[in-house]
This record gives sequence, C-alpha cells and structure tokens, in this order.
Amino acid sequence: MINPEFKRNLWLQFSLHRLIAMPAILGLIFFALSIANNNFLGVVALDSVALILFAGIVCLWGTRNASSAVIEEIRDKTWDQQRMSALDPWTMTWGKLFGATAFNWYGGVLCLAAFVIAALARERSMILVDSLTLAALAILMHAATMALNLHLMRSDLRAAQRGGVTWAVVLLAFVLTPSFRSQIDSSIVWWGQMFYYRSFLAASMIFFAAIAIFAAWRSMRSALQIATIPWAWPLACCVLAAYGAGFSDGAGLLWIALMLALAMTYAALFSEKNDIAFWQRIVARAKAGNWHGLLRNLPIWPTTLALSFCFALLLQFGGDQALPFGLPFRLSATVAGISFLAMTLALMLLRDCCVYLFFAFSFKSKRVGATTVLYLAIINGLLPFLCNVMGLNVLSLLFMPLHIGSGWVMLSIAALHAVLALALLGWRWRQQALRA
Amino acid sequence: MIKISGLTFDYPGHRALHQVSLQVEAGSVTALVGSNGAGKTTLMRCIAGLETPLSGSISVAGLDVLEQPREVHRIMGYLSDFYGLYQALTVAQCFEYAAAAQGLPAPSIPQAIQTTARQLGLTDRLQQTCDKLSRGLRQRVAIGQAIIHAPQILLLDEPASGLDPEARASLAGLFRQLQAQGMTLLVSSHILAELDEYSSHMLALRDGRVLEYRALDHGSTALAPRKSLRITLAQATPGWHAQLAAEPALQINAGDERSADVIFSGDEQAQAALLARLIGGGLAISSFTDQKENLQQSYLRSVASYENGERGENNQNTPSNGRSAS
Repeated sequence: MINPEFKRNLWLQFSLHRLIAMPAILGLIFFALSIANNNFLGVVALDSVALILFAGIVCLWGTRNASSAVIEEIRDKTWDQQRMSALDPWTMTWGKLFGATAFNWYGGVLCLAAFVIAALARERSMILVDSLTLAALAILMHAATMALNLHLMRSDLRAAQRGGVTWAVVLLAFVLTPSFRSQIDSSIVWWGQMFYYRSFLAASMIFFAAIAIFAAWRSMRSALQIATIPWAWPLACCVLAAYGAGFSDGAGLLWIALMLALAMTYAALFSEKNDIAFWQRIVARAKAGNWHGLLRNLPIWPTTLALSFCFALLLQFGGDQALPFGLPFRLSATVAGISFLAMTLALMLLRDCCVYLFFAFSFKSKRVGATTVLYLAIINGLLPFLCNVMGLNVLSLLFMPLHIGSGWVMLSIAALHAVLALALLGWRWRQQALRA
Repeated sequence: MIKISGLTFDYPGHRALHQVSLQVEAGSVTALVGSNGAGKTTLMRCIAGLETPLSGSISVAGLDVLEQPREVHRIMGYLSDFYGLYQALTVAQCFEYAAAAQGLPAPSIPQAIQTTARQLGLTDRLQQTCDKLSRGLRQRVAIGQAIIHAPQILLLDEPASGLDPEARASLAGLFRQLQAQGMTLLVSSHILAELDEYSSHMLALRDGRVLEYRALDHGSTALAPRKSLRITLAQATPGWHAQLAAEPALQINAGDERSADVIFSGDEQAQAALLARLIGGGLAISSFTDQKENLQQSYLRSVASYENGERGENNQNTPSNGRSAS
C-alpha cells in the first residue's frame, strides 16, 4: 500500500491544471530561450536558466512547502490527528518530505532534464555530478527545514511558526553557495586524500542531505512520542568535527570538536523546551532510579554540554593541540593560558546553561532566550567594559576571565561563575518546583 | 480496558492531575465531567499518549501507553476539542487517509468509508470538500475519522459542541450503537443532560483529582438497594411524616404537608408492600414516583460532597455499583 501521508500530500499538491501547467510553462520558457539563443548573441545559456529555475522551484519554493508540511498541521489543528495515527516515524518523515515537495520535484525533474540536454549540447563536463549536487542540496534544504521545524515545535519559538526557519535555511544556502562556486574547477585535500572539487562537493552534499533526513526522522520520532534516547546529537557533533578537521588534515580536531559542541549546546539550549514542569519530569525519573526514562525525556543540549567537558578534559590533559583559529583577545600571547582555555570555555557554557534555566524555571518569564541573552551580554560585555572605563581593571577580569593571562586564575574565576550560577539555579528550583 | 495508576501531570506552576488512579471497564461509556480546568482534557491526552506525565502509568488493553504509543493508537480513536480537518480534501479522502494512517488494510478501506459515512449520515457528502461543510457536518467528519478503524477505545473531548439538537440526538444514538458493538467510550462534555442519555459510568474530576467514579443506574431499578422516591398526597395532611418515619425502610430527606422525598431500601416487592401499607394507613396518595438521579444531580452531589470534605470513600480505584449514598 502506498504511504498514506505521501498519498495525502499528492492529493493536495496535484490537480489536472497543475499537472498540465508546470510542463507547459517550463516548455514555453525553454522554447523561447532556444529561439532567442538562435537569433541573438549574449542570451543566457539554456543550461544555466534550467539550473536557476531548478533552484527557484525546488530549492526555494520546495523548502517553503517542506516547512509548511509541519507548520500547517499545527496551524490547522490536524497535528494531533497525525500524532494519533499508527504511521511509524519513517513513513511519516518521507511521506511529508517528498509528498509536500512532490509538485516542486515534478518541475525540478523537468528542469534537470532540460539542463542535461542543454549541457550535453554544449559538451559541458560532469553533468551527472552537478545534477546530483543540486538534487542533494534541495533535499538537504527540505529535510533541514523539516527537522528544524519539528525540533522547534517543542519550544515556544513563534518565529518557527511564522516560517522563520524557511528563510533561515534559504538565506544560509544562498550565503554559502557562492563560496563553493568560486572553487568549482580546483581540487581539494581532505584527510590527506586529494579529490576533484566537484566530486567532493557532490559527495559532501549527499552526506549532509543524508544527515538532514536522519535528523528529520529523529525529530519526527520525538514528535510522535516514540521513546528516543538522545545519542544522535552528540554523534552528529563528533561526525561534523571529523568532517571539518579533514580540511586541516586532522590538525586541531579536538578544538574544532569543542567549538562545535559549544555552538550546538547553545543552539539546542535556546531552541528546546526547558520549563520547570519538563525538568521535574526528568528529576522524578532520576529519583525513582529510572535512568532509561530519564534519558528518554532528556533534552539534547545536556549531551553536547557533557561532550564539551570531555573535549575540554582531553585538551587539558591529553594533548598539546594548537588552536586552529586566531584568538581575539590577549590570551593568544600566553601558552599557559591556552592550555586552560578549553576547560574555561566549558565552565562558562555550564554557567550560561544555568542562567538560561534560571529564567526558564520562572512561571512568569515568557521570553527566556531574549532575557538570557540580555543578561549574558551584561555579564560578559557591559560590566567588564564599565569596570575598565572606571579604571577597575581587576574587577573587570572577575566578569570576563578570558582576558586573564594566568590559566589557573582564568579557570578558577570561570569555576566560581559556574558554582554561583548553579547555586542560583538550585535556589530557583527550591522556590518553584511543585512538591511531589 | 484502561488502567491508570498514580497519574500526576504538571504544567509550569500548576498540577493538572494529582495521583489519578482508576480502571475503566471494557464496553462502558464513561462520562468525564468536571468544571473548566478540572483536568479532563489533560487526562484524555495522557491516555491518548499525546502528553508525558510527571509520574504514574497508563495501560490500554494491556499496552503501556508511554512505552508503545503507536500500538495503542491502532486500537484507539481520539477526537480533540480543537480538531482540524484537511479543508482541501473531500470527505471520502479524509476518511481514506484516516483509515490508512490507522493501519487498516487497503482492501477493507472502501467498505470502512461507506460504513462510517452511513453511520454518520455523510453518504451523500463523500465527494464534498471539507471547507464547504457546515460546523455540524465537520464535527461528524472528525468523529468519522476517529472511528473509521473501529477502535476498541474512543476518546471524545466535547464531541457535541456546536451541534444542533437534532445532530446531538443522532450523536447519542451513534454512541449507543458503538457501545453495543463493544467499543469503550470516554466522553467529556459540559452538557451533562446529553451525556446522561448514553453514559454507563461517571468520572467526575475536580482540581485534577477524581471526585467520583461509579456506574450510573439507568437500567432497571429492581436490583438497586436504595432508591429515591417522591410521595405526593392529594391534599395537605399535617403530621403524615410521622407515619413515614415509622417505616424502617424509609429515610425522609425533605418534604412538607403534601409531599416528601425519601430514600427507600428494598426491592420492587417491598416497594409495592410499602405503598399498600401507606394507603391502608389512610393516606390519600396521588403519586408515588421513582426519582432517578440524573448525571447533573449526581455530579453536583459529588462536588458538594467534595467541598464538604467528604472525599474519603469517593476516591476509589474502581467504579462502585449502583448509586452511592446520598
């Protein structure tokens, strides 16, 4: 039997009018262009137009439709019916992913066909690889949008409901695309192996598209209340770190991993549900010794927080890895400071997580993310600046320990910040948690 | 059929369900009643596996809802109080999608669509898109989607809201029909008179706690050990209550010189004998009627009992049989 979710989307996407209109309009465009190419000089090549149309129909419009596949269910109050169905997460994921974008793919395949024909006529090289890259990019954008929407569904972020994710994904794709295009005919070294750039790009795009589909499937599992232990998020951090470190032949792997873990923790922390009722559920399971239940209810950000400390410990005690990037502050001058930087950053992350939870555990606070950002900006920026302009340089270091030359002092102040934040969080918990 | 044990559910700063424990019998129609914010919708959503509780367990037909939500969904239908429909799809497409999504085998789907449409009076609307339907018809489509896979359990949150009296009557008929087919129903509504028509049990919630869960005695009163009677005389007779008080099986609740509301303990034979004795004693009885307690009265009595702090015996795990003491 055909996937019911896919079939439902086909019903919504296709009508006789649309079925005829898409090839008719595309055909008209290509026909007009081919006549123009025959009669005039300097007209845009047909294969390039086909690619532009593919980007518009599949990458832009398709991403919007992929986003709507989830957002509209919530807006139209049909999401509960879907969650109550017996469809498994994978069936639901691919049904939505390829069903909601089916009409876009219908037009996209026609554009790719036109591209292949026109490119063959112009004796263009690596046509199949370029087609694959584009198709993978489109799937990556669709799946990433769906995964993000499903993930953000658990938070109170209204931007997600307004289609903000679509624009973020599209913007990211269009910002990054020119840098890939600029190196199109060069080669690349990755983990010591040389690859032709276009082949490597195609393989990378397929790899990331697969990760995005996997992420959409995992997010769908959680949305459908299927018990999900959060192992994929830290694994993704490690895989992405390995991918990134490949470009420097493995140099700075741990630093890249740490930075990714920090970034992924912040991203997840600010986008997940973290209210006190949610955390009481987790604590109740911990008190009952139900560790499996605890892991199933745990948000994903604590996993990369833990991973940050693992990488920091490895950097502190295990290796003398050089920083793969420059530092914006005076610490770069002191080798002793660098060896303590990793653990200091991990402790500061812990502090920031506690600050976020402190606001999230309040019953009244509605803009937890914005409030946290505001207070972190005050602690990390405004207060040290104020101290500096008042000539209280020592006091400013107490707020922003990264500027201290001594590693131990830097670490101690970061630890003090973390302890204070934990104490504050404990106080808020005792005030707000409902008694069992 | 549904077994709930120690269910507690929190919203930030508010406990919606407090240690709820109960067992819903297979084949029963339970009226879930309570004021706004009592926890009715939260309880239903927890049973449906749409929410994760703080603590406690829920099993449906032996399946753990928290462990196997998708398996539970195969045997369960749920109509949310804020449901939506796919506006651009026809009624037949909505039914087909619901049937397939609930795992009904493809060959049996056309028959299921026809049966459901017939049950809900939607046969002539199958090719109409949902955006063209009236509120009442949309409600019927939503109910149809919930029952198309013939679930063992059906959860309905305010199913009759927005329906006209005729549609409500036909909905009551449908629920009786579904119960006759062996389906277990849990229905939440504020319109208690409507629930009264088809409910076999009442589950009253207040502030997230079970006030009362018991069977309602709609059927024969022959076996009921205690019943409420109203005795009315043809004319005012001062002091006739003394005659009633002399009857050991009677307990006077209220009354005046012409009528009395009493609780009678005994079967039909004893009731006939009582009437004969009272007439024989010279009372000009013009009416002698069984005062069945309706759901509204039953619920209000539970609430009054709760507010008077008499909750001890009402917080029970399994429904009591017959009417509880007034």
